[in-house]
Amino acid sequence: MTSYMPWIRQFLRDRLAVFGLLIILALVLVAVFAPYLAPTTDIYSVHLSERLQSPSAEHAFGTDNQGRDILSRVIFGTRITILIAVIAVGASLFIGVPLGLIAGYFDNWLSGIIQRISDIFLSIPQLILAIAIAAALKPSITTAILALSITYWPWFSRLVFAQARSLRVSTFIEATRALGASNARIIFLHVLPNVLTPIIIRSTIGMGYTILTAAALGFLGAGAQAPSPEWGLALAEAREFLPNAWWFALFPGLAIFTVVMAFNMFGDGLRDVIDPRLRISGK
Amino acid sequence: MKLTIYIARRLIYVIPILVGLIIIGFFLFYLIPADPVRLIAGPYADSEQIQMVKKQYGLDAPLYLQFLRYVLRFFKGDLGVSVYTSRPVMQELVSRTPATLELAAISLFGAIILGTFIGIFVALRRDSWADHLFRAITIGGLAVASFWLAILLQLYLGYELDLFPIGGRITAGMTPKHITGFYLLDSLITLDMKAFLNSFKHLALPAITLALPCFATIVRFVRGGVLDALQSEYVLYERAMGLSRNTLIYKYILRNAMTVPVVQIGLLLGYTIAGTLVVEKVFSWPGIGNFAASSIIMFDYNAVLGVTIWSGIAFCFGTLIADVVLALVDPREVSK
Amino acid sequence: MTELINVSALSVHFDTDKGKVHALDQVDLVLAKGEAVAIVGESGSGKTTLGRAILNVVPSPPGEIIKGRVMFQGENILQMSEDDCNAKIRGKLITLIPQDPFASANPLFSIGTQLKDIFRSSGEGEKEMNLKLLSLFRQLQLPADKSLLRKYPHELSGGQLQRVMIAASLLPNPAMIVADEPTTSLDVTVEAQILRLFRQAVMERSVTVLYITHNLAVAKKVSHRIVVLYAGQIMESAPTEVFFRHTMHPYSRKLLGCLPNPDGAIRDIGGSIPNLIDPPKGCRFHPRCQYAESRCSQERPALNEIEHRHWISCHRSRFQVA
Repeated sequence: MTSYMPWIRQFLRDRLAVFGLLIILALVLVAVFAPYLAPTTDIYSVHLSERLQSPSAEHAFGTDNQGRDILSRVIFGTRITILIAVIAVGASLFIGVPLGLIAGYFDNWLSGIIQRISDIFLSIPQLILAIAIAAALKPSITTAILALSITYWPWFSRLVFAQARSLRVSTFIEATRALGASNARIIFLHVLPNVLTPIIIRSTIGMGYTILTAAALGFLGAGAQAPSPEWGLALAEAREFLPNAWWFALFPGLAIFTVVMAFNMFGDGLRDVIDPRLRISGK
Repeated sequence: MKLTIYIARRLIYVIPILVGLIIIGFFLFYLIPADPVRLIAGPYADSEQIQMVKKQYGLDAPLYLQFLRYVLRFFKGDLGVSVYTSRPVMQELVSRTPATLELAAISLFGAIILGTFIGIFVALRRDSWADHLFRAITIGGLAVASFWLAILLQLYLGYELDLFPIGGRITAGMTPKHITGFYLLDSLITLDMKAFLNSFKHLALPAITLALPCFATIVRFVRGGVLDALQSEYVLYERAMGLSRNTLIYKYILRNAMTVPVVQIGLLLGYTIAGTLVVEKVFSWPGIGNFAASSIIMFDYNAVLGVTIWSGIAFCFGTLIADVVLALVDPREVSK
Repeated sequence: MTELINVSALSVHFDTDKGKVHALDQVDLVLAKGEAVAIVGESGSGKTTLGRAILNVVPSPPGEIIKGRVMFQGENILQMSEDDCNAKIRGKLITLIPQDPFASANPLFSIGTQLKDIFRSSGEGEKEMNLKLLSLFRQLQLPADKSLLRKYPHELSGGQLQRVMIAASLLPNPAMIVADEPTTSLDVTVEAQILRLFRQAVMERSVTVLYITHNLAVAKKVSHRIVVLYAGQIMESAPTEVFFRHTMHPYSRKLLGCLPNPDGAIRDIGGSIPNLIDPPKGCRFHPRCQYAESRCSQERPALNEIEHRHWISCHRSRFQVA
């Protein structure tokens, strides 16, 4: 652990990044303790008599078109957001990294195919492909996660591919091979640690990006379905009741903004610390 | 000559991508869905209609035959009929392209031009208040959900302040004479200034919303690029040899900075194409994005598939054009 | 010998994440007109920074010239305004040959465009400039035709591009050239050829040259005088033959000892370059010096002229170092 101290110290100096990390931690806490933090756990039942009330002491974020407390729904929506983001990015990672390693380290017909397939996937914006997949299956949170995973893995494989390919012809790998190490051993012990840095960075950036895409899917009706408290879906529902019920549209969107912002700031700070060469801030 | 070879090579490379897109389309269409028939016929079809669809689309035939027919249909331009509008998907795509293209082009170019200048501006004034301001804008700009921003702009600048129209491409009856299908261009050509202003006002909010993530990305990368350039060996050499600061910045560093948006074009196109879906929906813009957004709710699979392939093609050609521009600006590209 | 440039007490810092790097510490250096001086030092010794400081182009965040003067033709270059410097000194009276030609030429513009812009304000017409340039190309054994000017940097080989850089440095008839390890990035055979051509061109024009290098063999070939820089401090300054015959400074002797020897023994200096964020006090070489005494870590030795035109910075300079 001590060898990471200078890195941790440097990271802590970046106030934005630390701020982002704190928000992420807060997000996790809110998701875990949602039932205790929300004013009410009753987020699904309809109270038409209380519909579309503006923010008040009783309903800090107001109520939606079915009389449900928006603050509570936003808090519970946190769970969905984290669920989707973590599983989707995680799955993409577990699909993309091995494929990238194989494609990069070996130079055969298989690696060619993997490359072509990821090129094709990369040539269609993620949202559109995700919609197509969601439309083919019945839209739901599960299909959204599936669609996001299937469309995001090429980012990881391309990243890993570049590194693996350049390491393949590097002298130290040649030396290791000359010493008789098996391919599997080389890939796991030597190539993989070298690609960890870009993978970590891509994962944090990917979280923000995935959350936005998942919310867009919810907004378009290709993801979470009613009566889920998912934030994107909430914004879609809110549209009908504009311009009057401004709070309905403001708060779920604000939640999305806060979370994505946090991941971006954290990701930037992380990148500045662990791989300054990738900095685009030109420090 | 070298340039033409380069363009030819890139064009050839597009072909396997297109082939791949077609295959993916087939895969998505026939293999993933539990019941492709339902998808074509729509969720409201009865058993008689289902039988008709089965026969019509030959879904009772072996898979390889289906694939062949699918490819043939594709090349004939038959992408099926939209359940949503009851018109051929191909026709919908073609008729709606100008609207989306106009919006996307204005957004993208606006973002690139403005973003490049701001990027250089803040890089030269590092750590000033302007630099911090734009850093906040760029970080925020990439965190904002487009549809949320669209709704907010519509709410405050449209409804509340009535500065901009809340939707549509132009006020009914003011459409300029159809020459290119691009209202801004057409109204300029026909000197219809009222139409020009009107369509411009309609464009404003959607374009700003669509352009924001691109703008943020470009400012970040250009700023980084300029800062790196200022530290680079060649800037040092040019300074050491007495090159005046003005020439240095406005000729050399500017050129280096301009390559940045071109290199990031994949990212920018991704933001733009995906963004049109939600932006067009919120602003009722009669383009392809709106079509896609409406189709998804109706489970209009033909339409969704058509849009997917369309956007793949748009992406390919967009990156191709960008690569050509890059080759014109950066002579090293052609030699690769 | 008339003095051309007089650097005195030059000290440069760099601000880094890890602290302030004291790159140059009270450097004194005098170059006479027409003299070719080789600054010899290991990497990190500060020699490149010295070259840049003379032209006042040390990258200013993070670098900073905190002290010293560079007297040139009666003026202190470090006090001159940017505009004056650009107009009179840089690329005119003093030119630079960079270490890595590919890194130093802007890849997006042709060579001709860049040269034209650099020499635009020299007052000459483009035609005369091109003629001069082409004759320089010829002298440096480059193809002397205009098509070379239309090429981009990456279209040339390292040796060719570096020759273009050398031509650029000679073009304005400068009083002085700062050559920053010009042959380091080249193959040995190309290096030999370029050194020969460079030396010829320089001698014809009696240009003063500050030749920065880490390679003693190269230094021997190109210079009248050798100045040894270690960790930002000048250790020794001697005429070249004198240096190789009987250098006096413990560090210089070790340097010479490192050269491959017919007797086959491999000698190194032991220890490593000091951390310049917290450099050793007094003489910065003392931690690695076998002759170090207590005074060496407290007081920095001044440059003493121990024989005619041979200075060393060492407390033991009174004695013959065995």
